Amino acid sequence: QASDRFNINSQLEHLQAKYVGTGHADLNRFEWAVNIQRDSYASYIGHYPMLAYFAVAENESIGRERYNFMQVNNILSFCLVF
Amino acid sequence: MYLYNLTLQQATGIVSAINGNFSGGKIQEIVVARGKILSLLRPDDLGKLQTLHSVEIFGCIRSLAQFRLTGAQKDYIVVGSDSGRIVILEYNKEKNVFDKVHQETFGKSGCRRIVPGQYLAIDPKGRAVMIGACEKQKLVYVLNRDTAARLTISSPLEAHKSHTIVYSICGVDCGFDNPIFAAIELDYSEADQDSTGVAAGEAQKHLTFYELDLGLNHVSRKWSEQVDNGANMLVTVPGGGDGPSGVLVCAENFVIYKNQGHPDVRAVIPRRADLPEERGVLIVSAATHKQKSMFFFLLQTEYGDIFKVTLEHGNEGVSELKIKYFDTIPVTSSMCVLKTGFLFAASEFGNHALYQFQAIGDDPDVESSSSTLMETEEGFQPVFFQPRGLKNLVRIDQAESLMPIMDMKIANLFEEETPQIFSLCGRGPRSSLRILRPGLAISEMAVSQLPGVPIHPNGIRHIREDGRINEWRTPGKRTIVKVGSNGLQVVIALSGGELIYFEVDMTGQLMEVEKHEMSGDVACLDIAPVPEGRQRSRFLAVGSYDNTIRILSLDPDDCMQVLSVQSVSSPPESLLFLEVKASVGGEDGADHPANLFLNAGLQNGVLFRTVVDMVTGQLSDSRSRFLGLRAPKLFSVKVRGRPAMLCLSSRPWLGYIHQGHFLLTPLSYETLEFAASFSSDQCAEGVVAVAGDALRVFTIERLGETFNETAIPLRYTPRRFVLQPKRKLLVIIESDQGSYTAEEREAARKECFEAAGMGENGNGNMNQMENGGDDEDKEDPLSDEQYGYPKAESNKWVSCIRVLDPRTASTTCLLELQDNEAAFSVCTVNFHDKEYGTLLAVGTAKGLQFWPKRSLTAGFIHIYRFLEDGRSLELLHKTQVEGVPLALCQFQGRLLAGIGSVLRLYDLGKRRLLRKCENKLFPNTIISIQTYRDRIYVGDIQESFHFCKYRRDENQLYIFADDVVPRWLTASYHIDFDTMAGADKFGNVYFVRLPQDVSDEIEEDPTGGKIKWEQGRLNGAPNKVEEIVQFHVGDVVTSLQKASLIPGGGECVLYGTVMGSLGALLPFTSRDDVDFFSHLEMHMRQEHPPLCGRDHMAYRSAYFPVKDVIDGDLCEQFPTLPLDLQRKIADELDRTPGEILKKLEEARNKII
Repeated sequence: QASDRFNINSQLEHLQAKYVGTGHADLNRFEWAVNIQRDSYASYIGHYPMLAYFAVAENESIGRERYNFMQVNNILSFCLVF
Repeated sequence: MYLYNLTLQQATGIVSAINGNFSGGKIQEIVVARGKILSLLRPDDLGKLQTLHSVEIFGCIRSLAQFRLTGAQKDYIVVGSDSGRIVILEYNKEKNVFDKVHQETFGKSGCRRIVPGQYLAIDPKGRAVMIGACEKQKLVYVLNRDTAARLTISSPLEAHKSHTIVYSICGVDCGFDNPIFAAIELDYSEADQDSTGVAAGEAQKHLTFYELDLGLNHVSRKWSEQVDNGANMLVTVPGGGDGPSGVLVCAENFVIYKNQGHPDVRAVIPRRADLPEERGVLIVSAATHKQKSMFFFLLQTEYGDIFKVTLEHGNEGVSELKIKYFDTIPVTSSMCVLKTGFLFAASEFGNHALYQFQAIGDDPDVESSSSTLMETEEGFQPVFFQPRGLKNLVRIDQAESLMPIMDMKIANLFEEETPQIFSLCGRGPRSSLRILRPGLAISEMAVSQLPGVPIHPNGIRHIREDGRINEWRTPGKRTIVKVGSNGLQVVIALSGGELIYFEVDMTGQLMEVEKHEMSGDVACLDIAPVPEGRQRSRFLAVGSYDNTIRILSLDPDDCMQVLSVQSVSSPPESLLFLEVKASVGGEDGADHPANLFLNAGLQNGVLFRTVVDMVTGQLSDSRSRFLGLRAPKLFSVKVRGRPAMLCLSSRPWLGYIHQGHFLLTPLSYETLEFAASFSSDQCAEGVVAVAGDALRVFTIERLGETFNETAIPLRYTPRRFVLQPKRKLLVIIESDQGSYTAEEREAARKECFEAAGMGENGNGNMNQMENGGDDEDKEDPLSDEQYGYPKAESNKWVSCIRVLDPRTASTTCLLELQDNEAAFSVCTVNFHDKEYGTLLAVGTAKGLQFWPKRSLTAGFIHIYRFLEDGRSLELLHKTQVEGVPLALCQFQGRLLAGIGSVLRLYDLGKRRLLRKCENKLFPNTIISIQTYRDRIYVGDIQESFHFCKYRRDENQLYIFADDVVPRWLTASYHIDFDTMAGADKFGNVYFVRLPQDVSDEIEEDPTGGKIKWEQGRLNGAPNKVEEIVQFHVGDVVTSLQKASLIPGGGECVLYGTVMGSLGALLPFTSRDDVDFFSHLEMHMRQEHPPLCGRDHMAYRSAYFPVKDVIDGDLCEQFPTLPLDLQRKIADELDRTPGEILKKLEEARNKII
């Protein structure tokens, strides 16, 4: 029992449960890319200057840009071309 | 190389704004977050916005909220940042600082997916706060008071739900029942499991209520219901006794009222008539106004239209929701309705504004209501409206904002003493070219020509209040050369060096008290002002031609005794005592001890300033600064009711106290000879001055600013510009996506006027399309600046090339590009055959689209010829290329163009450009090209710099070195032969350098064979550049330039950012300075951690470890520390606090 607690796998499981996006050995390319994508969008939304930078590039309001970055088609079913 | 980073102009854009009574009492105040700056603003009695306090927090503020404990008079501020901590601040008006009341750590730092900080929601009764992340995590803190009425905060209660995206959260007003928070959520767990994408298509947003049970100390999901999939924002509806409670859900095209156990009440948001069908209408900011008897909401759409939303409610809940068109103002990031009848609008881009309410939209206007909502087969029936002029709001003040700085260049086009900063700012119709000059702006009140005024003093004439005159004549033939006086004391210096001291006695008689013989002629003298509650001032300062300044006592006990002597570098020309009164919680100041400064203007143009000990008269802590080519003359003036000093050298300077700091700033005005205070009904605190043969009266505006700016309006979003230093002209390229061309806009405008029955009034000339600051007052019913351009489909582009004369602010030539073409790059080029002289190359793209994939119809390079001495352009020819030419540069009498991933060399032909040579080995897209001798420095959009070499004999381009880190370049600048400075999208500035041995090897390779055949690993170049400087600015840097802002000063690298701030990186010249400042920075990090809980070192190393840059912004917070802490740090550094302040001031003076 005690050895289980220090087992690297159980630690990983704990991390995976706690931190969304932590990788594992059987991670496939798609899942990995989805995570990267979601992390990036979250970072864009969190960093206002970056959001403003995109808003200027696309000539949209910052509010619209934030909305687009969080919309379902972006976060969930974006097409990755590999 | 070690650099000193200093922000010259703090960010001017606003991320979020909240209003409340932060200093207590009835005064309405606004707290704004400007990215990494937190400031407190207050509209004064005249409706001018004043910045009371501004502090850099070395972190990234993402959300702000205010709350008030029940029965309290004061609002607290909650800050959601990237620190992984919740921070509660209180404004301390005595000290004029934000005090940190609580700081609770809950997670990792950084703007991450699941670390809370993105959203904040407050229980309307101030009992709890919810802090949420974009995904999964939500924490609730219970706020309370302890027995001493201090604010307490509980440990966090979790309201997490995994696999859930959060769009918005808000508090629900339910009186004094258990606090409830509402959230728009989307569960994606099913969509993730389903690889076919069906589940993703069916994913549904929900509105969820979380209840905090105060008794059980537990948060539970109380209620969850489907909500429109376009939902993006929640607004609290007043509850308890004030309203029906519940929330407004703002969704694309709709506003929906929702509450638990209440049917949805839905109304459409009216659309602009000219909006393309595929575009929705999204609410981007909201404000609530609540009075005892009524409440309403102001919602602003992404196009700038504000709607007033009201709810009809009774005992059975809400029966009707009405959305009425209110007014149109530029799109905001936050709006604040102040109780005093003002609306503060923090614009997304461009200037912020303060509006006053004229009405609250009670007049009939276009209105959409839930009761008239029509559902047809195609969906809900839209309601249309046409924007009109302001009816309910009137603008009374605006705060300048440079956001976003698109490009910036520094040059001395006006041949002034210091160079000007030309920056392209703003977006769309609100864009402008702003010319920044270091210095304070002044406003001239009057100018009049003067006859000569002769002055021949040979006596003293004492005029008493009742008009009696007392006269004293000089003995013999000696004349008075200098005189100094305050209200009660007079000292005169006679030729030959004799000083005579007079005093006004109790009866008001002017009495001679003492004589004193100096060793030589007196150059200048001044008496300190009489301290409050005293009979006389103790100090007289006398400057002599033997390069000394003496302080003499005026006390009866030791009258005319020399108290101290200071030798200076050159004979003093003018002396002035400046007294800083002790202040306790003044308007803008915290506690300051009283201080007496002696200022001396020396003949070599240096201003010399020392502190005079108020008791002993000893001089200490001397500082000097070069002001200009003429000896500064010093005059005492009043600024904001405090004594200040005007120094007149080859340009005027003002020395004043601002927010507890002594600032010496140039005035943007011409050379003045003499000056004095001036006060009248029209201007309370003016200055009257003689310049040449004219008398001028002016006042000084907006203290505390580093730059004063002149704005020239532009038509579209400016992209880049080039300077023509010889002709003193600028060529600017502007382009906007999704807009109609000028002709189409004009046609639409006419149509709209005709429809409104104003056909004859449609003065549709070209000038009207020039939007701008001056146009606002005109009776233009639809100025583009206020209303924005009508939106078109996203594949439509408008663009223009403009030649601008900055001196007269006039456009000498404006070419609108036709046919969906948009300009993206520009450069001037001199081709080999000098047939045309300097030509202008412009890179354009036709039909460019970013979504779903970047695509374009064609790219072009236009070549223009300058006519009429550069004031006008003529198209020579245009050459089609296969991609967007994002970078152009002259190179050895040819044109280098970066077209997608291809670097190509062109020569000028008769009908088109001729390809000479190309290299296709660049990884992504070339966005910058700089050249020096035969080297070419290419910046890739994603892969940092590539160093290339052109071999003329072989006519080939080689990449011989590149960078090891992927950098999403946004700006680049060539520093020297081996060094490039760059900035990336994530807010980092870095320098890379080619190692010296590699550089030598490449230069010594005569055949170039080695470069040619050498292969790097993994498709990279054979050599790698080294990163020598790295720094996280915390803001996307869009332009870099090397310049010297002060005459004779060293060069530094200046940067401009998206948030509208300007900063400088100054290279240190001595090892001692590096040691000193790095130690000071280290102590500051330890003793004065940033306000919002982010670790300073971690922040500056957010993406890459900081390297060889010392943060001057942190060091400059040293004076704000308590005195004992200052002394402690100073002791550690083996210096006195005064010496540290002097060092900080010196460093700043080297830059500006």
